[in-house]
Amino acid sequence: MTLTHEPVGHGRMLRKEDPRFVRGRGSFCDDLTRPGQLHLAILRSPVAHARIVHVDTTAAQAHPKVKAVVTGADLAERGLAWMPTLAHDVQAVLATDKVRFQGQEVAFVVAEDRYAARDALELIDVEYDLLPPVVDARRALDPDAPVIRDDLAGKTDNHCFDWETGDAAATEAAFARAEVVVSDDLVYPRVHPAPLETCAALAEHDRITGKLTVWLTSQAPHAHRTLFARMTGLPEHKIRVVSPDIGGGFGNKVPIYPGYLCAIVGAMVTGRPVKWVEDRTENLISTSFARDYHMHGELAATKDGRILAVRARVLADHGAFNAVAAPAKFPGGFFGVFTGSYAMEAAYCSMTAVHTTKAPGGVAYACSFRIAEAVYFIERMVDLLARELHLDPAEVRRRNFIPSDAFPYLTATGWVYDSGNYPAALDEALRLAGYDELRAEQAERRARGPESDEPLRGIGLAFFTEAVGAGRASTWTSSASGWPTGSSCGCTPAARRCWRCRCRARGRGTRRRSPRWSPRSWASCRPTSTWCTATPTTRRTAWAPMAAARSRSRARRRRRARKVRDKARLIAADMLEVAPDDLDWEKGTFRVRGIPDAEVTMPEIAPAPTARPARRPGERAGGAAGLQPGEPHLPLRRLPVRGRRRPRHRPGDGAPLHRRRRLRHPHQRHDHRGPGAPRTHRRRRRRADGADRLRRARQLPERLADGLPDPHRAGGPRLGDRPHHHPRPTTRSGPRASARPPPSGHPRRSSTP
Amino acid sequence: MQVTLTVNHEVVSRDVEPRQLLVHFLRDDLGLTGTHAGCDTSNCGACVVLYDGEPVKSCTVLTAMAAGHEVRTVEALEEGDRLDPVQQGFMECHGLQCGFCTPGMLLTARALLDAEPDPSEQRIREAISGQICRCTGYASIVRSVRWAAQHQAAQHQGAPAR
Repeated sequence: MTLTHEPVGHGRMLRKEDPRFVRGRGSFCDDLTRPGQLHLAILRSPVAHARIVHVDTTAAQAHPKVKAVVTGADLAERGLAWMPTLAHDVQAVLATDKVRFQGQEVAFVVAEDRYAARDALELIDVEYDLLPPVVDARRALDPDAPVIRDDLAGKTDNHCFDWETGDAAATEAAFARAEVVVSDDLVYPRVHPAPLETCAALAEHDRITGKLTVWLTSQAPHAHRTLFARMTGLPEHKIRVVSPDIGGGFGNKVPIYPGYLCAIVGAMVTGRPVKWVEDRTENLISTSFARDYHMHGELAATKDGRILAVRARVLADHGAFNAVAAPAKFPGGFFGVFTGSYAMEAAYCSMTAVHTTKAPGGVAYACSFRIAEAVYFIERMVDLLARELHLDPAEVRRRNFIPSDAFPYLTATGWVYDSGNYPAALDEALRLAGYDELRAEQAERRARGPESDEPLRGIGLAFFTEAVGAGRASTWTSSASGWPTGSSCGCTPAARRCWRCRCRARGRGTRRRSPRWSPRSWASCRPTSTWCTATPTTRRTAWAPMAAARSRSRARRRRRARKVRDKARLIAADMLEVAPDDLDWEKGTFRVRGIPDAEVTMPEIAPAPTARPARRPGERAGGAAGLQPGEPHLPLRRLPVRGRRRPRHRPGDGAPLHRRRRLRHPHQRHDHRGPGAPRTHRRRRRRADGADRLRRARQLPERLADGLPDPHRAGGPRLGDRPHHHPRPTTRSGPRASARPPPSGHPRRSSTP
Repeated sequence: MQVTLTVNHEVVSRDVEPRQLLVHFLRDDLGLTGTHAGCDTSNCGACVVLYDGEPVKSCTVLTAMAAGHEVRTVEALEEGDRLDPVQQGFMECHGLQCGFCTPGMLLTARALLDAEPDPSEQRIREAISGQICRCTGYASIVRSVRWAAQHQAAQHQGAPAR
C-alpha cells in the first residue's frame, strides 16, 4: 500500500498548548486556588476485607484546624454512602458496613491546610473485624469463598454477571470439522494507567444560589456532572464541571471516584471551597485498573491454515465493585470483537465475571472497553496456529484476513466492519519494519547456536482493528448514547471556523490538531482562521460522557466540517440564485459551474444566516438587490441573532429586518418552523429539491441506520442479502441481541424526510 | 519558623511549619505552581527545581533547609521576553504532551547544559533518569535537549535565536 496523497496534518506545526506549559503556566487542578479554600484528606482501609466495628472520630474533631470529619455513617444518614458506577453497579463512597478492598475510602477530614488534614487522619480510630480476602478470580466462586458483596440483596456468592456472544452450535459444528485445533490459557493481568498527575477535585458550593462548581481531573466531565446531580439532588444546570489541564489521563480519569464526591460533600458541609488531591499511593491502590482477564481460547482451522471458528471462555475479575466505564450495552464491553481482523464461519464467547477484594476495574489506555483484551486473545491464538502448522505468522494472517472486497463485513459476533484493506496494510508494515531481513537475521543467530555472544532475536506480530468511537448506535446503552468522541464545528459571522471539542485535551495537541482535521479544501480557505477549544466545561459543550481525542475522532470531525460546508453551499446557492449542485467548491469559494465570475467566498457566506437585508414579498434574494460580484454582499447591519429571537426593528434602521427561515442540513427535515416572511410554494419546493439533488449527488444514504448501507445505493454487497451466512448472535443476560442482521430483503431504514 | 531564601532572584521571607516541604512552600505559599508534585515517594521528578544551580527534587527538601539558599523554578527560566533554549527545544521537538513533567525536565536539562554544553544522548538520558514522563516515551525529550544544546551554542556565537 502506498500513500497516494499527503496525509492531513503532516508538516511542521508547533502545538498551541506548549507556550503555557514550558513557562510553568499550566493550570492543573492542584494549581487552582479559591478564596477560603480548605483541604480534604481521605482515610483508607489498610486491609482488603473486614467488617467495620467502630469508627471513633472524636480526637480528629478536636484538632484545632479541622473543620469537618465525615464517616460512612454520616453519609448514610443523608443517603450519600453509595453511588452508582458507570457499569450500573453501586460503589461505596465511604464504607459503612465493611471494607472490600485495600485502600477503600472509610472517612474524610476537611482542614485548613493539607498538613493538618493528614494529621487528623491519624487521629481517627477504626476498629476492623478481619475477613478472609479473595484475591484470585479463579477462587472467587469456590463454595467456601467469603461473599464480598453482601450489600446486594440475595447475594450468596461472588458472581457478578454472565455474558455470551456468537453462536455456540455453529462454532461446535465448525470445531467438529476442524483438521487442526489449538488451545491455550491466557492471562491478561491488571494494568494501572498511572498518569503523572494524580486525581484531584476542587469543589465550591454557593449556598445562596445553590450552584455547585467542581474543577476536576476528569476525562468525562458530563458523565461526572450527571452523577453529581443524582447524588446531591441539585439540578444539572446548577452544576458546572470544569476539566482544566490534565497531567495525563490514559483512562484513569474516566471513572467516578469517591474522592470527587467527598470534595463536594466537604464543600457543602463547610460552605467553603474544598480541594482534594490524592497522593501517588492512593492513586495506585484505589483508582481504576483495567484488564484482569483469564481467558481459555480454542481455535479450529484447516490444515492449510484457514481459520474455521474460534471459541473463548473468559473469567473476568471486576474487583469489589463493577465500575468499568462501559459504553456498550454488553457487560463484557466490546470483547465481542474477539474475531479480530479475520474471516471465519463461527465464533462463540462465554464470559463469567466475579467480584474479588481488589480495587474496582476501570479503563486503561487506548482501545479499552475490552478491545485490547480481545485483540490480544485472537492474535495469540493465530500465533499458536502458525506455530502448530510451522507457518510464518504473517502468512497465516494473510490467509485469514477479511478480504478487502468483502467490506462492509459482518463478523460472526454481529459487528460490522465498514472498510479496510488488511493485506496491504500488513505488507506495508512488514516492509517498513524490514520483516524479511529480521527473519533472516533471526535464523542466522539461531544457527550460530548458544555459544554465540549475540542474543537470540524474537519477532512478534499483531494486527489490530480498532472500533471507531464506541461502535454503532445499536451497541450503546441508552444512557450513554453520546459515548462516541465528538466535536462540533461552526462558523462565526466573521468566517472564523470554530471547533468545540467535546473531548478533554490531555496532551495530544488537540487545539492545534483539530482544526487541521477538517476537509483539506477548507483548511486552505483564506483569510479564515480557526480556533478550537478543548477544555470542556459542562456549560459550554454538548453532552459527551467521555472522549479519546485521537484518530478515532477524526472521521467525526471531518463529517462535522462537511456539514458546515454543505450548509454554506445552500446559502451560496441562494445568494447566487442557482441550484446547490451547480456550485463547485474550491479553496473556500463556491463558483457557479461554467460562469467564471459568479462566486462567493466563505467570508461572504458566513454572515448570511445571521444578518440579511430586508426582502419584501416578491423581491428576489441576494444579487437581485443590485449588488455586483465582489461588492460586500451582505451588509452587517446588526449583531448576530442568538437563538430563535426574532430581530427587533429599531426606528432609523431603514427597512425592517427579517430573519430568514432556518437553513437546514440536507438530512434535516424541512418543517418550516423558522420565523420569517411567508414564502411561496414554488420557493419551498425549489429548496427541498436542491437539497435532495445535493444528497443524491454525494451518494449519501438517507441515514446510516446501524451502520448498514443505503439499500438504494447501486452495487456493493448488502448485509441484508445474506442473513444465513452469519448466525444470529445471542446474549443471555443482555437486553437483546446486539446486531442481528435485518430480515432478508428488508434492510432496516429510518424514515425518509 | 521564619525562613528567608532566594527564589527566582528575589529574597522571600515567610513563617512556615518546620516540616513543610519546599515543593509545598513554592506552590502554596509563593503561588509558583509551575513546580508540580506527582508522587509522594520522590520518584517522579516533576518537582525538580534548581537549588544553588543543582537540579533537586523539591519534595525531598524542607523549606527550613533551603534557608539562605537560592532556588530557581521554571517560572524564572524565561529571561525577559526570550525563552531559554531548552524551553524552545521542548516546543520545537515536541518534548512534552500533557506538560506535567515538563518543568522538572526543563530544569534538569538547564543544569545539564550549564555543566556540559554539548552532552551526548547517553548523558542526557542519565541526567533525566530520575524523572518520569508518562506521555512521550523520552525520545522526544532527549531530542529536545539536543536541540537546545545545538542552538545554545549558536546563540553564544552571536547567531540570532530562532
